[in-house]
Amino acid sequence: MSEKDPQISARERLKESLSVSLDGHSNDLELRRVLDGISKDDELRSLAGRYQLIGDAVRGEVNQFSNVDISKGVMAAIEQGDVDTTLNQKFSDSPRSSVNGSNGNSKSSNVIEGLWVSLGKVAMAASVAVAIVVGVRNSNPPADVQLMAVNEPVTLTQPVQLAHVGQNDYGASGIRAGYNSKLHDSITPEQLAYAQSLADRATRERFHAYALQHAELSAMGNGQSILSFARLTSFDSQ
Amino acid sequence: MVDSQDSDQQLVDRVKQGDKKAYDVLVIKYQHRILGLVGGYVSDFQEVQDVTQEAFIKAYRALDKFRGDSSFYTWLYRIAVNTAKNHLVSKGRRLPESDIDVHDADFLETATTLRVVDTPERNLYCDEIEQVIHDVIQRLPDELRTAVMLREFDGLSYEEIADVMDCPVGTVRSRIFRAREAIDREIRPLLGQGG
Repeated sequence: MSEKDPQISARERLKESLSVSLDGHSNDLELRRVLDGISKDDELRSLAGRYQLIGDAVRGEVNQFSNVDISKGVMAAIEQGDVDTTLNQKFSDSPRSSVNGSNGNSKSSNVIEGLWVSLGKVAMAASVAVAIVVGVRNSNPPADVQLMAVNEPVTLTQPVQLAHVGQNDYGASGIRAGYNSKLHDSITPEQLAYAQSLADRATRERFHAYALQHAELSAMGNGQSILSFARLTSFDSQ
Repeated sequence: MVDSQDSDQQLVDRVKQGDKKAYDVLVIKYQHRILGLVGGYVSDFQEVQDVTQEAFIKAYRALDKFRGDSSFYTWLYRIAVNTAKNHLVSKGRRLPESDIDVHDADFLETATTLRVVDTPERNLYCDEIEQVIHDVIQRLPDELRTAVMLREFDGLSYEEIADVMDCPVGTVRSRIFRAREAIDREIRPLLGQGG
């Protein structure tokens, strides 16, 4: 057997999983793997469309729109709508905008000011999330790094240094670059909650990646498929 | 008999849990049927695409209200018809006299799907695609042809196909996949898609 065989068969297995998923007969892990593949792999996405076309042809349902693909447009519109909704929900009752309103500034300057406030908050939340993620990563390094750290304690001081760079305990130093309101020197509970949700999402995505990797190994049918989820962290070293 | 209600439930559940990628698959599955349906109401090619896109977005936003009493496609069908009618009204155009009533949608549902409204524009492209696919299916080995026809034409579940063909479910999924792959190899050049 050549070295490339496992890759080829992994691809074939993914395509078979796609076929099964379109019929609604896949298990949860298989479906996750397919959805992840479709979101990253345009060829797999096109294949899904062609499998669907085959079914349409068998049933005599091919029409003049069969070579049209609106799916990307729909998903982009949904993503955009979600972003708009999220921004409106998170920042609709900004204290800064109410201050501006009482000062009687013009409508357009309020809009621009509001945009800066929104951008500033997004930057703050993003930098907090990055600080948390970096902190988590540094506090939970791969096994080989942990071994090095025993001999070189300097590496363990990085999170501490990061905290000193910022103006507060949350490491949110990036906010001041385009954002000079005194109202935002401290982080509000809402912003903290939002940052926490971002950090939670990063954790979920990390776990999701582990689950996908586990599903991949299961699909390949090698000995590692018997590993329980409780030992998933051992994939770090692979 | 399996129907689209069962086959889409996994995807619908995942969308409700917040997985947008699952909705992407539902769009890929049904976009052409819905485009054909909307094409029965709206004549302009670009408008058809716009109205269909709007229908899918409306369906996504209303998915929490989908209780699964009908199939996802029946529910989507109703949204698409209403969106197309609203579009015609907003443009000051007349609604078509002969119409498939939304309440009749369930009765019109066959094994797996609703039929799209027939249009006279079924052009050469469609005929050619259908012809090639039917030709390839005829040339497939018996076990592959039977498996894919039982699935796509009769709408049987994998378990039912396994019963009919007296083989394990794993063999059924493999046969259906191999049949689709064989057909795909032939239609890919026609669609101008490499790989």
